[in-house]
This record gives sequence, C-alpha cells and structure tokens, in this order.
Amino acid sequence: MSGPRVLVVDDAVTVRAFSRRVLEADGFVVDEAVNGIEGLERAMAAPPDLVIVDVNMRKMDGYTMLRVLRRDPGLRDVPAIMISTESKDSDREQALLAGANWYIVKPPRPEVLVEAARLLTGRPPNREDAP
Amino acid sequence: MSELFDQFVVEAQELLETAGAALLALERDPADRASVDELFRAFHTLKGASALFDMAPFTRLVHAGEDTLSLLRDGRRGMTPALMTPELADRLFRALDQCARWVAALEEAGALPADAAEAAEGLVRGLAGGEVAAGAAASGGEADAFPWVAALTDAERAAVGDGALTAIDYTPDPECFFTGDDPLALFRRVPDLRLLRIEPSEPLPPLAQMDPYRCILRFRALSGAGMEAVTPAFRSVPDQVRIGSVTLAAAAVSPAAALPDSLAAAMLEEQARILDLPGSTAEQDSRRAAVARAVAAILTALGQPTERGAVEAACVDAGTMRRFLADGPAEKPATAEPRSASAPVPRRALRVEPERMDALMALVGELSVVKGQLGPLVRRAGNGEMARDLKSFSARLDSLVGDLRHAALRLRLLPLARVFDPLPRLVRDTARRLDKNVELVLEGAETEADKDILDVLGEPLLHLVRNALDHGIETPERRAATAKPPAGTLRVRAFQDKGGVVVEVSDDGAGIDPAAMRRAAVAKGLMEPDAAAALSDTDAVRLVFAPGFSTAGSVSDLSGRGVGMDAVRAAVERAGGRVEVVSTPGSGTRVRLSLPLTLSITRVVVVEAAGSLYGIPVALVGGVQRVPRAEIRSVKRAESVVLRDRVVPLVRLRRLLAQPDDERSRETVCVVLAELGDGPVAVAVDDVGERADVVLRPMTGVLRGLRGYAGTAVLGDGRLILVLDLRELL
Amino acid sequence: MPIRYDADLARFEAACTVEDALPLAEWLEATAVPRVDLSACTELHTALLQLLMAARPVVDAGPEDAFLARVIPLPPTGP
Repeated sequence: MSGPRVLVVDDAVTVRAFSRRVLEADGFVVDEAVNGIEGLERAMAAPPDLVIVDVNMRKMDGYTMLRVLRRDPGLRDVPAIMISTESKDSDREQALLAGANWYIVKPPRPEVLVEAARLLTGRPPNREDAP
Repeated sequence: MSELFDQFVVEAQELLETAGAALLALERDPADRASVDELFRAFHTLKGASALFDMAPFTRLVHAGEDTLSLLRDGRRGMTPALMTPELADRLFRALDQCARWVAALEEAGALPADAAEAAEGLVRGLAGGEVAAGAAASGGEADAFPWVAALTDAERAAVGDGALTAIDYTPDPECFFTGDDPLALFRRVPDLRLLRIEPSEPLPPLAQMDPYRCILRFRALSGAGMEAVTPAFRSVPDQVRIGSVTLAAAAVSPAAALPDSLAAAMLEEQARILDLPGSTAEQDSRRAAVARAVAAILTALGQPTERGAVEAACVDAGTMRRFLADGPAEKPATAEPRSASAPVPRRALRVEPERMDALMALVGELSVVKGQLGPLVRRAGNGEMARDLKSFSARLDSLVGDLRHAALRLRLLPLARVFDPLPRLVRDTARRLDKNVELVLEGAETEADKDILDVLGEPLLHLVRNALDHGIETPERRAATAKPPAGTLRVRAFQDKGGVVVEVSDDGAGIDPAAMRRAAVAKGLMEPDAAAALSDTDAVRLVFAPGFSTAGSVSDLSGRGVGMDAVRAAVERAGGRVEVVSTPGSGTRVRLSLPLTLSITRVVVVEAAGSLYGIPVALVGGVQRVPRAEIRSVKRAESVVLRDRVVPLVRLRRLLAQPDDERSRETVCVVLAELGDGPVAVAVDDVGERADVVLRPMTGVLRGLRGYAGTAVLGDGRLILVLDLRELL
Repeated sequence: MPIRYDADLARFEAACTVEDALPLAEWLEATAVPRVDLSACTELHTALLQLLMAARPVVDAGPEDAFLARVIPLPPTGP
C-alpha cells in the first residue's frame, strides 16, 4: 500500500527534487508540477492528500492556484502548505487568505517539512511510526 | 545529496542564462514588464534553490539582486518603479557573471571558492549602492520589507531564535558624526538585541582616501523586544532608520523547538485563526472545508482521531475551534485513512553521461565500419543462391545500421541555441565599449548539430561576431555619413544543409575592400605584386583567412577583418568543415561556416600515394578529376593547373609526404581539388579510390608528434589509412 | 588618551570617542602591520570602528565589553 500523495508545485527543479527526496524517504508518494496551471491539472487528474505550493511561479502563481483549488468541489478541502522565501507576517497572511493551511519559509528544513506533511495527512509524528 | 546538488547546478545554469537574456531585453526596453518579472523570478528561484545548500555567499548575492529588482518591479510605495540603466545592468551582469563562475566552481569542486564571501560582499555593496540611489527619494520612513531577514546564515538564525521579532534597518546620515551621533552606541539601548550586522554602506575606500569623519556604515539588527520598546533608542534619527516587525517561521528555529507536538499545536492554532480571516461567503466556506480536513488529519496524527462531523461543527470561528480543541475531542476510531491512489509516473528527462554517449557513438561507428566489410564479401560470393541471401541480408543490415547510426546521432544532437546564447551579451558589451549601435538578429537557433560540432563552433563564432563589431560595423557617425541607419545589423543565421550544419555571420558594415587586401598582401611580402594583381576580387577577400595575413594591426585599419580569422578557419577545417567569405565594400560582409553534422564519423575520399592509402575529408574536396599531363604548367618549381577557369596551384602528395616522385610516366594526372579557406589547391595523387565513412581516431603514441595528419582510420576491408590534415601539410 | 600608541600596537582603553578618529587614521596609515588591543575598550565610536574595518589590523585581543564583543565584526586575528 502506498503512502499519502503529496503534490509539490514549484518552478525550481532543485526545490522539487529536495521535497521529493525528503518526502519519499518518509514514505510519501510525490507528484510534481512546475506552475499553478500544471498543479491544478495534476490535482484534478489525481486528487492529492496534500499540496505544497510555491508562491512565485510563471504562468500561474501559488496564490491563484490555491484560490482555484479552493473553488473546486472535489479539491476544496485538500490541505495546502504554502512555501516561500518571504518571512514577513503579511506574506503569511496572504497565503492563508488564498487558502493555505500552513506556511513554511524557504528553505524548509527536511524534518519540518516532513512533520508538517505528516500532520496534515493524518500520519503520526515520526519516531513512533513504523512503516 | 549529490544528485540534488547536480540538479541544482543544472538548474542554476539555466536560470542564469534566462536571467542574462531577460536583462539584455530589459536594457533594450526598460519598460518591458515581462522581462522584469522574468529576471526577478530567476533571481528569486536561485535564492530559494541555493538556500538548500551551504552556500551563503551565493544566496546573499542573488538575494541582493532580487532586492534590487523588486525596486524595478514594484518601486517603493507611492513611487513609480525605478528604470533599468546601463550602470545598473552592468552591476547585475557582474552579479550574474559571478554566479556563473561560482556554479562552475560548484560543478568542478563541489564548493564555492574560498573568497566567495568577499566577492559577494563587494557585489552586494554595488547592488545596494544602486538601491540607495533608486530609493533615496522615497525614504519616507515607510515600514518596508526587511528582505535580509530571510537570508540570515544558519549561525545567525540559531542566535536569533524564532517568533515575532523587531527588525531595524539603520543607514546613518554620512555627516552624522558632526551632529554628535554615534550610531553604534544607539544599539546599546536596544532591548533584547539578538543580532547586529554592521556593513559598509558603500565600498570601503583605501585607508588613505577615507574621510574619518564621514559615516559609511550601515546597521541591520533584530531584537526580541516589541517595536514600541525598540523605537525609543532611535528617537534622534527617525529619518535614517526603518523599524518593523517580522516573524521568523519554523524553518528558522532550532531543532529542539521544532518538536512535533509544538508544531501540531501551532498548526491547530493557525487553523483556528484561518476561520476568522475575511473573505466572501464562498471563500470562507471553502476555507472551512480545508480547515476541517486539516484539523481532522492533525488530530488523527496525534492519535486522537475525531469524527469529521464534530470537527466540521467546530469550524465556525476561531473561538469555537479553540474551545473545541481545548475541551479535547471525543476519542473515536479514525475514519479518514489516507487514500491509496495509484501513483502516476511523472515524465522525467533522462540524463546520460557524455562519456557513455561517446562510447555508444564509437560502437556505432565501429559497427558501420564492420558492416562495410560485408560488401566485398558479398561480391566475392558470386551469384549463387547463398550469395542472393547474403545480399538481401546485407541490405537489411545496411538499413538497420543506418537507422541505428541516425538514432545514435540524434541522441547527441543539441540545438545551436547553446552557442547562440552567449552572443547577445557579447554584442551588448562590445557595442557598449565601442560606442556603436548594433542590432543582433539570431535565426535558426533551433537548428541541431552534434555536441562535438557545437563545441568546435563556439569559439570561432564568438570570434566572427567580435570581428564584425570591431571592424565591420561602423560608428554611428560614419554610418550617418554614408546614409545607413545609425544602428548596424549583425545577423547570425544557422540552418541545416546536405548532411551538415551551416552558420552564417553577416553584417551591414563597411565590407572588405579587395584592392586594399591586395596591397596588404604585397606589403606584407606574402605575394608578388603580379600574383596579387591576378587575384580575383573574391580570392583577394579570402586572403583574410591566410595564415600570417591578419595578425598585424594594420589590417583592421584597412577596414578588413582583424586578428584571428586564420584561427577561425583552422578550427573549422580541423573539424572537417570549411569557411567562405563574401564581402561587398560599403555594404557588408558575410562569413559562412559549414560543418559536418558530427565529428565521430568522417566521410573521406581515399587516395593512394607511393603505395599507401590516405584519406582526405570529403568536406574539403571540391572535385576529383584527371588532368592531362600537358596542362600542368610549371613556373620555376611551382606548378599550377587551370581548373574550372581558375588558375589553381598544384601540389604533389608524394612530395608533401617526402616520398620519391612517381617514376611511371602517365598521360593524365589524378587530381583532388581541395577547397581550403584561402583558395583551392589541386593535390596530385597516384590514384583515387572510394569514398568511405570512417571513425577518425586521433594519433596516439609516437605518431602524435607527426604534423599533417588528422588521425587514423580503418576502412571497411580492414585496411588502415592515415587521414590527412591538408591545411597543416601545405 | 583613550588610545595609547606603542610602536605598532594601539591599546584602546575605556571610552574611545570620535576625537580619536583622526589620530587613529594617521597611525593606521603610517604603520606597516598595525596591531590593536581592544580588551580594555568599553565604548568604541562608530568612526573608529569603520577605520578598523577598512584597515583590518591584527586584533591582538578583542574587547571584553560584552556588547562590543558580541556585535563588532572584528574577530581576533592575533597569535
């Protein structure tokens, strides 16, 4: 049986690869998209258990993607983490307004990313978890 | 992490290229919003990606670039955005160049060079200087962003701690010492000072030129105290300081503080807060749905699975949610087990090591050669039934090997964009240096050629472009005087041509004057006046490629081409290609480079001389014919022959190879017309054989010192030939 | 004098003020390999700090003052 599916939407291949690596190592199944539009397409094709979205992307940014996601009957409740290099309160606020459930400042520390993903997909925190 | 690191290197290279192109576009059209966005995004993405690794100077530099660009993009509040200037472009280019060097170092050594921090510092200061200038008018004390907070080093982050902090950005008035200020002393009065960064606000001058009474430092600090507690310390300098609150999120906290429990608590509290966010009914409804699911998931994760309905019922507002969470949810079995969906396989490009590709290519080459040995066998088999089968088998093998070779070749094909990419920048910098206006037109960047060919092409192309700018395109004044548009046009065009790739570099500049070329050839002692006068205009212009011709500065004064055209020709011919030039005085010059599609397999004409076989690359061969002996004219020791209405010098391969002359007297002489860059040469050989595809192997061992040979190759029947480097031989 | 000059060594003592800036600049410039001892310094004027940042003298001893020790970007480089 495969683990929860996480959709990572980021235009930086390095960041995607990083997220994939740490999340897959923890048993998540990771899907990737390079911008909001592709992210929505992926999410609609196979609803994920969690989306992790970058802010600044070509074609469609993370805010827009989250707003659209929250309007879609099948996807509106999918938990979402927004990830950004900005650490200001106003940026965090904007992310939550757009529909994010949580906000992480880049670069994410692996354990922080994994724990947040675990919590939002209903998996117990690490230590006690035996795969 | 090495795979991730490799990925970063590749991505960084791409982003730097994108940024360079966008910056060029932006400099050309400062109002080009799309390019500003593109450039900003490239810096932004580099910042995020580099921060994953231990390369603080890199992150710091791209961060500074991003800050500068955000001024271009958004401007300061209430101000129109700043515009790109050539000076600012220079600074950004320098930053990009530095990043490119670092990426090269990362690829090479896996780490930034030791002086990276220092190099970053200088460039950051340069960029910040621009920032100050751009934003000076807007220093209205607006609590703006503190972007440096996001780029703290790990050590700084650890020292600073997490949560709500107050950021201080203080750039003292340079004259502040005269009014009795001591900026550093002000920070003693800042409560709970967690970090103080003291940086020069402009490059520190050499000590001898430093004015000891002028303040050139800038202070950035973080305090754990609230804004109201921090502000009084700076009461005397409100116009020079920005103070604002920032939050360092979980990423910045120490590992101990990131325990799952506290993270879960923070996340639950955040979900409650989300319920109170403003928005339309529809927005709030969907947020509620998302919060309900998130809260249910977190509770499940914490081992307190709760009925979804109960959670949903609590999603009214923050207060209700907090009460619900505080009262503790009823213990009920979990219902929301993560869905098990079939994981789609994402499409990913396959990256292959170049060495493996080369090995594959070499094998395909060998296979073609071995296949070639089948031909003679089939012919020897005669006409029997077995021979027929053998023939059809051979034909099938032929076509399969052809397909395989084609497929393998395609693997190595890359678009010429790779060699075109540096050109816009080169043209921009050179034109700026020379005070010329140049419009660069690139065509056919999507044309594909073998990676080796691209490697060969790169340098000569840069050379040609540089030359066209230096010597071809005139200054705006001179162009105006000749009724040309002030901006010159430099066109670089690539296209596919019968089995090869062609790149043309043409300009609408001064052109090359054949008369001047003739005079120069005589003046330099390269030609007798008679011979020079006898040259056609076309051949006179081709003298630019003659060795020793273009090395003197005087050529450029004759509005000819400058140094190194000889080197261009040499590089292209070494790769089995050729160079042609056409020029019209007053209206421009076109240089055409024709190269084979690949270096791995070379097509040669096999010739015989003194009992040995040699190969001449087909690309150089303009024709093969038999010439009646009587038509060879000799003046002193120099022989020549008229071919296609041109007088062509004739050389004998035997003599070139220091072999005795052919004793046999023949009525006709076999001649290969070699098209070398500076004119055709007729090469007399004993005999001409087939044309063959061979895998060229460079000379090794003792043979390596031999001049005049491009390498060795094995023919289809197993015989070894030496492939000639005619240019070097002649 | 809050700064005592002793050949190639400058000792910063107690509160060093903007008055010391000019002599310090001249001394830093005139001394081939200047060394500084900040251990007894209790206050360091910004003008002096930026001279030290520009000249990068050998720091024999860093300041013992807690605030200065924490914030000034001059790591001891001495023996």
